[in-house]
Amino acid sequence: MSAGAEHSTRARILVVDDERQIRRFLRIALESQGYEVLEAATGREGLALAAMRQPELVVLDLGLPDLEGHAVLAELRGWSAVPVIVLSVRAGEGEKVHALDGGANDYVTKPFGIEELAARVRVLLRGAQPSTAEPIVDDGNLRIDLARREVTLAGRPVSLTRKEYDLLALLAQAPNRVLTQGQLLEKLWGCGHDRDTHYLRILVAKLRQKLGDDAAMPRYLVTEPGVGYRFRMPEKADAP
Amino acid sequence: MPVSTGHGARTDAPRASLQGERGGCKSSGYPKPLARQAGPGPNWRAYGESLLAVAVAALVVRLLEGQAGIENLALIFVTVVVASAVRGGLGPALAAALAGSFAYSFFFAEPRLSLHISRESELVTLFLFVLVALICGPLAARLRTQVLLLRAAHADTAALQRLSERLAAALDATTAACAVAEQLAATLDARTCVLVPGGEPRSLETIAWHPDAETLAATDLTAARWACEHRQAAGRFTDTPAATRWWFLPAATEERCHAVIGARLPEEAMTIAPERLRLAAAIAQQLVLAMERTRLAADLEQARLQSETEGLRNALLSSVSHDLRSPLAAMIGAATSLRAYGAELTPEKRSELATTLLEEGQRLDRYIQNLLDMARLGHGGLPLERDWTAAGDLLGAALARLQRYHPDILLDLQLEPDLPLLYVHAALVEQALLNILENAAGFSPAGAPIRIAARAEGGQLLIDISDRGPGVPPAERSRIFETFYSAGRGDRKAHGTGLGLSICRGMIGAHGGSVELLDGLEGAGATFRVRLPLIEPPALVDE
Repeated sequence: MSAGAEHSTRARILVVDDERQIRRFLRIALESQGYEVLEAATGREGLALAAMRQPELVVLDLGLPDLEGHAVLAELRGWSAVPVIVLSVRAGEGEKVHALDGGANDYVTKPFGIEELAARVRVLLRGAQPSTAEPIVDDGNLRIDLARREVTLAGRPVSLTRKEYDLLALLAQAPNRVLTQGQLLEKLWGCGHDRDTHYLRILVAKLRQKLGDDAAMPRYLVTEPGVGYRFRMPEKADAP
Repeated sequence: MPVSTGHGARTDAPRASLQGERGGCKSSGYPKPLARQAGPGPNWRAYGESLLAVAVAALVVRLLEGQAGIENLALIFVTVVVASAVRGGLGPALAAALAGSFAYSFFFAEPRLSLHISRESELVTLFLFVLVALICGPLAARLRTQVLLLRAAHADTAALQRLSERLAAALDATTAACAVAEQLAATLDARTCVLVPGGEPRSLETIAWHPDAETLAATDLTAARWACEHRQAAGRFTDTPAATRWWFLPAATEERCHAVIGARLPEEAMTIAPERLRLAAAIAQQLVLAMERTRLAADLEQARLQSETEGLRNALLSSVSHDLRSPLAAMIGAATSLRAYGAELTPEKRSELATTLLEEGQRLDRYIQNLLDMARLGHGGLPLERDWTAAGDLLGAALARLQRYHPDILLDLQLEPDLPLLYVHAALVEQALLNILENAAGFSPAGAPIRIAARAEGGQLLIDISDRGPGVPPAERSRIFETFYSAGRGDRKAHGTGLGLSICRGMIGAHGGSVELLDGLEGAGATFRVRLPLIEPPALVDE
């Protein structure tokens, strides 16, 4: 739990939420992990702070009083590529997908535990550093060599079709991050297929089978119901 | 019973109007079937048959002449006369008498082949023939009329019987009215319609018709309204001064006019026969009965709904106060303890209090989710955002959430490989499955796994979730899905809020599926079986 604390410069996180209690506990928790926390109660304030203080990550509540969270995201994406985690209430898969397709990097559903948010924050802050983009994903069991397009499972090569490999590679290149089914469908099948979700379901089922993954208790390919998929990689405490 | 008193009172009004009608019609007092058969002119066919019968009789007499005396054989002609009377009435009987006596004197009485009446006995024969015809003819004709009337009455009774059967099966006023419109159209040979009092005072609306939809003019409606308000027939064929071609008969009791039946007879009809009127009145009475019955049923249903809603509201209030307040009480207690005594507590105790805060907060969250789900279901027509979903994904998501709330729960997964895709609203089905899993977890003794089995069978996906808890006796199995029903044993916390399973059934039901409770495995515990219909996914373009 000391990943953030060991950063040489303290990563700056902007929290945009109109709930004072949420901002308070996020500040206490994130500061305890060694981050610097900026607070904004409205969308306008958040955009202003993001422009002035250049945070490394933004935690954005989708239900803001002045501007809709989506509007804040759209405006922010107009001039910044800063990673954004959106907070949204349950029962809004459509909203989450909308935010992810609109440029958000991940989401957390309210109410959430701090561990969940902290894990997302770590993943995104690490992904933001170009040096960590590894050509090889390896957890000791599954090994994906992205440069040579090779996949092995417990040392044995796994034979994947082109689409299966493409899907695995797409997900593995963004470990622990969610990719929406719309994004995956478009990248794998091209435009006009973003509603053919059964293609993706069947492809995922085949890929899971070849990776020895159980749909109900997946080890690698985690389904985010109604949203998309996430490639789960064990987090490494010290990135090279 | 209100129905039976209504029955007694109801008959007066239409009958009173009938009395008035009857004075106006005399000659055409035949029931319709009889008039149709008798026709307007003499029945030549009956005459022909009579003469033919006489000819046959003459032949028979000729053949038997050797065996019996001619006087006895004359009885054969008498028989023909009587038979003619029965079949055709007076006219054919007389014709048979005359023809018979002619044949008798011409062929059999001496001198033969002449009409000369030589003996007085022959004159007597002729006289007797005619006398028999005169006596039997009208008698037989009356008998025949009565038979025909009886037959018509029988047909009417049968029609009423059929109508009352249809009315008994009618579940609402419109169905009843349609049956009546159809029957009355047949009875009166007319176009018919049925009007009922509308929403506004004195307004009437047409709810049934036969054979075609009718648009009533203002004058027609005035007459109909008059019939409804005065509980008397109005319009055509009545004394009421109304410019309408419709005849209106109220279907009413003294206290209430249920409907007005309208009939538009052909232009040439001069009046309605009393039998038809009586039948129409009987039909109106049946309509009253049917409408009172359907109204009563609707009232009862309304009352039942109302008391159910009332009960639900009470249950909801007590549930909200209990299930929202209990976790809050624990949270506030834990938080104040941490704030006031935090410094004096050991780290373990502080962590314990923090865990209480967390668990109670999660419990509150789940309860609020339940309330939200219930509100969504309560609005009816739950909007489904269906998408292709892998059954394993759904179970996986539900199990992941279950393990967050019950970290120690044991699971035994038995999923068939290659389960087909479901076309469902994933979040709702996941919630439904979670509710069953939570119920199972709540009842499971420590160390006993929950078994989850899924398989495709007969166009359905079957998901069985079995626990090793105490099970549910068969008598309680359907009730367990009722809102706020929760098994009355043990402490409430373990048994949930009584919302989960009712929400589960609602959500699965919205997908055209079902949830049922079966015996547990090896006779212990309970098994919930979720059935979801399978739909063939569209073909794949590649791979």
